[in-house]
Amino acid sequence: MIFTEPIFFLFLAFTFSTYWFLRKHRELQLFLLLGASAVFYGWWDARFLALITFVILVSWVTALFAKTRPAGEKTRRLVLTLGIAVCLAVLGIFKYFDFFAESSHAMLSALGFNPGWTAVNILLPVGISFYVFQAISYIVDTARGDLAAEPRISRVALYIAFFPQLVAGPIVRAASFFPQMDRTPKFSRALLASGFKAFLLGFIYKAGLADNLAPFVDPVYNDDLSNWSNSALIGATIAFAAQIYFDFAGYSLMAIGVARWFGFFIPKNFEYPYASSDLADFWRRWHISLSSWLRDYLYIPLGGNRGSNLMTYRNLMATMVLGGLWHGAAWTFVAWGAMHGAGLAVHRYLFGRAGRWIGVAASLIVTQLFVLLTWVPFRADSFDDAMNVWFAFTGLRESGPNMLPAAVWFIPLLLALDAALGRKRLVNLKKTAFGNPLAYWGGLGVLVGLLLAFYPLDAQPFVYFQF
Amino acid sequence: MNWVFILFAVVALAFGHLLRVSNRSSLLLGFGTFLAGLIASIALVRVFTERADIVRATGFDGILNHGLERAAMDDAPIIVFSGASYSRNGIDADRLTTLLRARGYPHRVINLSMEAGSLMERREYIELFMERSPKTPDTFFIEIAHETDYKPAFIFGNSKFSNRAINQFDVNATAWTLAGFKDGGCVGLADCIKQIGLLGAHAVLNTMNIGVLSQGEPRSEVDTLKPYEGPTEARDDIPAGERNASLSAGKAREAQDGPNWALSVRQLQREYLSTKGVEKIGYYFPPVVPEDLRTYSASLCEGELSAFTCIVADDPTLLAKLDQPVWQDRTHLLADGAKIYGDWLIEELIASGILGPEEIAP
Repeated sequence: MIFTEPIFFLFLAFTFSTYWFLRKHRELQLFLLLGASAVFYGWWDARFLALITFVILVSWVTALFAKTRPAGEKTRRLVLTLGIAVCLAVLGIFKYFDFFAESSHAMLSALGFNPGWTAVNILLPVGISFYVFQAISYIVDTARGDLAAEPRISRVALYIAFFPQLVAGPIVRAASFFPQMDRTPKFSRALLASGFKAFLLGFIYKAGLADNLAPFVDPVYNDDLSNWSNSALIGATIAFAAQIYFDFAGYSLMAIGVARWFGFFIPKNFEYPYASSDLADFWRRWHISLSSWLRDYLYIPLGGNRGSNLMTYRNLMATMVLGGLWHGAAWTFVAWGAMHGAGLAVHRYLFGRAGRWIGVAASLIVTQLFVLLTWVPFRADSFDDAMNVWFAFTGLRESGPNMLPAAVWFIPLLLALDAALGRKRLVNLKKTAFGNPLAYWGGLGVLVGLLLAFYPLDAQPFVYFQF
Repeated sequence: MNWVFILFAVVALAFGHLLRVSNRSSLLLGFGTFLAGLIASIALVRVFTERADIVRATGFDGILNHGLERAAMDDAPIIVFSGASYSRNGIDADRLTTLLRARGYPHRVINLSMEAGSLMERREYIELFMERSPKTPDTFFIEIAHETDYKPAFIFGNSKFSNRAINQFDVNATAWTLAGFKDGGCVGLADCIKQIGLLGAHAVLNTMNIGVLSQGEPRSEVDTLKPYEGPTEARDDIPAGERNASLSAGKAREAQDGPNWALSVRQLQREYLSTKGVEKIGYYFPPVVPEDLRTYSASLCEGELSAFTCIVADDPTLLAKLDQPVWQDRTHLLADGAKIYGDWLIEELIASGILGPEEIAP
């Protein structure tokens, strides 16, 4: 079930009311959430429950074992490595086995060999990329001493499988989540209101905007691109940039809102990335939970920027390439990651850690143009298609006949408006009419009426579910 | 529509970012204000979509547009057949037009039929056709079937919460459907609770305009859809013995009226068509294998609809010709079956006198 489907609201209503009914029994509340999470995840496919249970067991056992051993001991390091390796192996098998099998098959065939293996079409469990990373976060955080290993498997299970953020993040750090399980939250109107605000904005992003942007994107990218004009390819790419942002940011906001209703605070995952004026800043605003995870668990352990410039560039490339691969088992995602890695390396080389050679406006344009061009391989089905679209940007491509509606060129204005309103650049509205009760409730009624009219009857899954 | 989306997106983003609840708000006043805002925006969307003729497009809109296209092709008088899937499979309008013209009748046949077309849905599309057609049909034939008389919410068995299902249940259709449930349209307490529950949900979704702007497009821009597709592959294998027994089972027609609600709907429909200038209204039912379904429609012809031209495919000669593998399943014809039925139907139409005298010299 996805957050915008009616069945989710029924599920949420039951879980929410039961949770607060049990407000004097914290352990029961947590067990309820665990059960609800199992139902939520099993709704996708009950078979997936076995795999997530395995990952939970591995991380729980690994952390507990490491707790019993002195830091630095060889056996401890071995078990920790094994625990992380098993989690990564699960991800590798279910997400990347077919990719590597097909790629190596193609490569060997091109070299004149005839490998006997083929892809086995392994079903990709939804959310695996997210919960494996959370499991690794738990193992590493306990190993580092940021968090004590938890003897109760139910708590570890809830951390890894907490339904608001299970299938598409945000990736929550163990060190920030576990203390929240120990605290008994207090039901309050403020809690409801803040959760509702996040959920409502997320719902607007996802159901109101992202799903209604799909008609600008899919007819182009899912078709033979030669049918489409250069402006259509450019327009569809712009629309995709908006779609993926509203889709993913929307899901994250809804997850944050839902979690808040249960007294859990999940960090924000997006901070108006299309307002960033350099690439490093973009990655501090886009999918913040993933980029910070990669920074803390991959980039810094590799050496970060502590070594020479060349080592830093290597670390940036490795981190971003793997980050690209995390998004999907296809070379187009690897290319996307590599482009961003190269872009970050160039940014570091040209600008150092501070200062710019060009003004903010120019820097913003260059950065956003770069980001837009990198969305092309992310969305395209193949490199041929990606090249087709890139050539459209240069004008060096024979334009096809089909055009997109002119309204597509106003999509960037929506992103600008979103950033301006969200960052309170337009007006600070603490004391405006929107805070007035009548204006609030009346405005909410109008908004709900409009959202219903734009509600996607054919519920689109979240774009990031495929990751 | 795209500009409507952009406008909506601006408004939604503004509201989403700017709305902030005040701790001073009273729940009752808040709820009342919320309801007022909701009703205002629902009304606004409804007025806009009706003025701009924006609908959640369905196949029936495509069939409507196809029919309108056909009606505008020439000055010939029009015969319209309005039915459900029995008719969608059985009425090859283009072929019937050719046959009629070969027999000296200038009429153009239009098939306005869609599978799972309930009485209410077909009523709506008949009215839409009448409003948009470049000329008034000379003759209207309306399908009569047990299934649509006794399953007012037929669509729930096919596609609940689809565009078609939501479109169908406006206030008027909901009221009639409830009347249909009262007249035997639901069987047993559990079924009635389920049907009424679904009806209520769909009526609410219809009222709230759900998805009308995300799925919507101007009705006139919906791509045309040919009603008759001439299927050539059977869905069910009907044993020859069963087919023969059913098709050769003759039961005398006993005069019967349909359930009150269906009787009333047909009466109002005739009044509507008459006020719109349709002078000739008839009823029909294509061939089916199950004898009880044929008998039901035939009995309506003897009873409720005895004053009208009523052509039910229970002629033994016709049924004997259909006693071969010309069936898609027990209630729908394949293309070969539709040809046999079409030949017979033309003779019946001519014999009934409803078409008037020949106008084209043979």
